[in-house]
Amino acid sequence: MQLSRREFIKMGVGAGLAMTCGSFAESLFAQEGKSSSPDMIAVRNGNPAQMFESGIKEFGGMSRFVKSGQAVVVKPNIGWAKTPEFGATTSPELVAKIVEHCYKAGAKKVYVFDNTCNSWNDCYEKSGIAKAAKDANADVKPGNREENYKKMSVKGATVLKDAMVHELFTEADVVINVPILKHHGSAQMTAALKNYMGVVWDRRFFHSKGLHECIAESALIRKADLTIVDAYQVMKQNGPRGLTKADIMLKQMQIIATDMVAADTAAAKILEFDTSKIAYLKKAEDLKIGTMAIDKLTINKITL
Amino acid sequence: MLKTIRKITGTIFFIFSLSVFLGYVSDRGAVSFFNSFNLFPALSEFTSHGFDPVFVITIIVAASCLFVGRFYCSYLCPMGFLQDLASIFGRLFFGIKKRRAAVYKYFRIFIAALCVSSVLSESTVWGWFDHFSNFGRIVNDFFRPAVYLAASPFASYLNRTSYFQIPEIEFSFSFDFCYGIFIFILLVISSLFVPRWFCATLCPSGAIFSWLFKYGFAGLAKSGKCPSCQKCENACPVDCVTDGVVDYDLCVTCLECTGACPYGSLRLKFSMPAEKSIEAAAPLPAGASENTVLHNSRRDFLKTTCAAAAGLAMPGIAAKSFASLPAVPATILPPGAINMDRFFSDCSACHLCVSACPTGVIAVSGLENGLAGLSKPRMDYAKSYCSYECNRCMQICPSGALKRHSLQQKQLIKIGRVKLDTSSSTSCIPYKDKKDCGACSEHCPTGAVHMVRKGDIFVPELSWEYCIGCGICEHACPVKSGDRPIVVYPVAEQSVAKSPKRLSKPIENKPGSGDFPF
Repeated sequence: MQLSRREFIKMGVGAGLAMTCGSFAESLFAQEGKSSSPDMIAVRNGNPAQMFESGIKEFGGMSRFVKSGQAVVVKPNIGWAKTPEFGATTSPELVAKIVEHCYKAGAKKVYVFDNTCNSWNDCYEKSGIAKAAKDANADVKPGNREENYKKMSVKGATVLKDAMVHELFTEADVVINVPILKHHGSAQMTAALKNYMGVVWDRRFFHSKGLHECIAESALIRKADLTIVDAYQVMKQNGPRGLTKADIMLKQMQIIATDMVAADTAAAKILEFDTSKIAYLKKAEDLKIGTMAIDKLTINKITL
Repeated sequence: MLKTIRKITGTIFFIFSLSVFLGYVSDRGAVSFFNSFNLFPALSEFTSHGFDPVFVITIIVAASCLFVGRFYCSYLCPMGFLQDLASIFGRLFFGIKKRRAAVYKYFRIFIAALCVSSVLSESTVWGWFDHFSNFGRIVNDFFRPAVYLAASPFASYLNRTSYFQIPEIEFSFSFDFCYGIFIFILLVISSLFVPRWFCATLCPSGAIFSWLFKYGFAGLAKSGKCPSCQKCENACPVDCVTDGVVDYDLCVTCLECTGACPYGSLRLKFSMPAEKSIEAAAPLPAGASENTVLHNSRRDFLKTTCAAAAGLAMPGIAAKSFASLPAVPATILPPGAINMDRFFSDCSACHLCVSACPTGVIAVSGLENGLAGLSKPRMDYAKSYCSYECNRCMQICPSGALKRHSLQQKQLIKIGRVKLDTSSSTSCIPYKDKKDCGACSEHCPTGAVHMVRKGDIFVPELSWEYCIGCGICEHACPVKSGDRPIVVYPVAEQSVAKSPKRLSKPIENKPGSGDFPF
């Protein structure tokens, strides 16, 4: 009883704040640690959908981020033609749950896409994301058509000065970033920031012109309004593709935050990685995309 | 009635064949079913894979020729349907009068013997004559680009708005591409004048079917009242009826003549081979004596034997020419090909794998590997890569040229050899610019290309024993010009790579244990 009352009050506070300040202003407050609402939610011991359900409730509900009539982009990692148990792609039930919450909050349309590494239809199908998202009424769009990407200049970038960005990503009212947490051979880790490589057309540019700079600067295109890091099963080695199921570690965790850098910092700790070794995190912090000092943030931890 | 049935079955089978060869049907069972209707591909599948229950269909199709004639040719064959369409078009729009196709008796024997001998031996000469393989090449080289080209105005609209995608064709003219178009044009233009000439002159299964019909137990004969109204002659689409007498060498048993007969005189009947007026179509010249007949039959026997013997020996002679194959192929062969010698002697170049390949990496060869490799599939890594999660080509290959393997087995077949340039003149970004890149290792499905720390950055390194030569590293590499740093080369013999399992050291898994590390 006590818990539910507390939750009720928190929800009320969250909703009130959202109504008065709007989500953008609030996320600013959150970064500076002045708001009484949490900066980050960390959930563990449930399945991805359950963890999201409790986590988003604690974070003030989806209506804090999605307003009635808005178009939402949910950007999972669909990069590889592998089935969910290999942990190479975002959990399909998590994607479906997020889509469902967006519609409940009044979203007009929810889009799901990714610029995949393997052939797009294989990835969409094998990952189970296309089906799960479609069943939740999302509009699943291909990410492999060059004509869907529009050239734009990236303000404040020194390497990724201009990029071809998927039109849905720039046109949507709300962007929800849903990466899966994995080891990464060259970038060291892939989570929130690295997941943005799937909204840009030419990923080879990233590799040839400075991987870490481009990953950090891609967040200058547009910060995600909400980041959910799927750390249910994490790829500890041989990432980002993974070789066998032996590369996977069952962590049963999830991070929900508005700050992409903070989310990535927490994610790196779950992977037991040294955050100072992940070059793009520091670069993103320098670009004021977010903070790596998560010990100064209010993190609400939930154990199911 | 029969005419309507023929239109329906012909259209259905044509569309089915078209969708199989366009790559829309990728189910192995469906393709195998389709394949079983075609004598030579089925024989080829039988010699490679052994007996399969669907071959009952092949036996029925062949055996039924003895009792009802070449119904496959008239009611089902897509190649025949295509020729029929052309000749109907010619008749309706240009008023072209049909002309009887020439049957070169001994040539036909030669071709049929050649094909039978080649399908049973280590040769694929049959692929150049067989209707199935020719139809495959026509669809792949002509219909596929045509369909894509026709759909391309809508492609960008459809692709933008929906989940459905129409692949756009990349036009690159090459010899092989022209080849399918060449047969198509040849087939269509000549069919305008001479209906179904391919069936009468070239087709090896057509030849065998027509002999089964000719010396079998069915006959088209007139009985009773026949006032020589010539309605049957006019109705015959291949112009093989003269005054109610049928030329069995040409007849495809479409039965339009019997339907056209107003007196019900001309009918398909059971008749013993000896009772048939087989030679009636070619009457003896005036003044021919008994002696000439005997002489002719002796000469005929000799000629037949010679033609058959030449046909039977030909694939062996042709196989000799394979000795001149290079030691290592100039192109990478699709998975399951094993080696060039084996592959070229089994593949009939029907191009089914080319259209079935989901990544579009399978392309058609020109003369890279000599004449023996002409029109056979190859891997085009400049265009795409071989998907680790796919074994469709070997599942679908009708001739067994691509040996069938489970996906797990296929994931270990080494089809190429990767080379990474780490020399001082390399264009590899981490080695040259001292910057992190790792696109190759990121995509590598087996861990053969992996990253190792070198100073502040990570550089790629090879464990070639794990490499299966899928080419995704080459595809992902951002260096697209000049001397590329990572390239996959052909191998002489496909082998089995080490399983990547050994690269995954087991991690301790404690579900739900441990609190948050922050």
